[in-house]
Amino acid sequence: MRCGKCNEAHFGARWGATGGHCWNSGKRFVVPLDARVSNSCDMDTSNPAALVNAELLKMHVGRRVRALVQVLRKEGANFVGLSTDGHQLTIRDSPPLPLSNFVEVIGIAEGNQSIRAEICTNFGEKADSLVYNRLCQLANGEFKSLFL
Amino acid sequence: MFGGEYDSASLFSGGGFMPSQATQTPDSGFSPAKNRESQALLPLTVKQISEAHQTSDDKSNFVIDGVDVNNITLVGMVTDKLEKVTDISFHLDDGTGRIEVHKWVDDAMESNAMAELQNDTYVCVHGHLKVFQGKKQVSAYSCRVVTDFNQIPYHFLECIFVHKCNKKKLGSPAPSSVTAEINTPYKTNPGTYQSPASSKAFSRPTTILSDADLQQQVLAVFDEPRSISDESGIHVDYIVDRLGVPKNKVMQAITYHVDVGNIYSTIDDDHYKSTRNG
Repeated sequence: MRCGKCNEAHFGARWGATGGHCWNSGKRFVVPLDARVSNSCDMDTSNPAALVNAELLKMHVGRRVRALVQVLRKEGANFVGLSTDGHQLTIRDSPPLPLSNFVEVIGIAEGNQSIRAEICTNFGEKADSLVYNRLCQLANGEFKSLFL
Repeated sequence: MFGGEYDSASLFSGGGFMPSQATQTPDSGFSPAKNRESQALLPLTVKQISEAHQTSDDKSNFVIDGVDVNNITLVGMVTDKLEKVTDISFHLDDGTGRIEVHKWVDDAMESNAMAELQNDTYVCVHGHLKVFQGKKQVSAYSCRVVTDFNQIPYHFLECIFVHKCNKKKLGSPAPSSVTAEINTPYKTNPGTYQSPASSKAFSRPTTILSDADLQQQVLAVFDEPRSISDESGIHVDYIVDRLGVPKNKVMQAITYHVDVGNIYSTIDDDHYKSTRNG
């Protein structure tokens, strides 16, 4: 649902609530009346995370994306990983957890080759990056309507 | 697939919100066949559900791609988990959107299993799509934590595949190239399994085959487990049949492979066998 004050989506708020705490400012926000009625707190598809490889990342700069990467090296709070189409990506602000060989990153696309991580999920030592890569292409191409 | 701990009655009773079997059966106008079809599990993305329209005022009557939607499969991340004594609810975010999921907890074993579900973990949900107090939600039969993460891309590919199939049934011209491109286990019906090299999707026009391509394909036939397990190797004509290439071309490729040591002749000049796993 969207905040009546800063007009940004706030997912922390319970459906059906008339307000909550703004994630950005920490201040209390009010859900606009029309949103309370029309949504009647239905589902929310306003902030999807597009499946991307390095090629498709460029098309989603500034938006939420998710990508499967193979971890190459740690650099402090960041790490460098190999995208499913074989390019190096910098993942910023990765959580201080031990990372497995393959990691799925959900976060904001900051640039052509960098993602600011929000959630990292360890996919383990083996993952089918070929299938994931093909899925990225389909989900941004012919079958975009199912995803975005 | 649900294991032994659920009996079918508790699986499909929907935790008390659905009308009981006794009241449902006489009222229902469906023929048994149609009823069974509508009970099938449909893999979906949340985005598809958000665009589903209701066919009537009935609280659980959705249509997606011309198919009645009742039971669905979703794969996504748990957020905003809320645990109560009788039920657990959370939002499932599959990257295309978020939907509320309810799971009624009947016994201690289930509640232990549900304790495994934590925020930001991937989960596979089988459930019933319905409208409750004006909003779409899923009443889950089972929620299981995803342990093999390939399940996530496979789920979405399955969504694409099922969407494409249903669109085709509707009669609208669907784009054609995809079945050949997505190589998932879901593509092949176990009843009509064909080995990839012989299926239509993989056969190529012979005219554009270069010698190197042909050599590779010939070797691929020799390297199939079936060919390797055959004591006397395989006959040249078999390869001609399989690849649909003129015999002299196949013989050229075979001569090449014999020369470089990839295959050797066996019982006669027409039978050859791969040196691999000899």
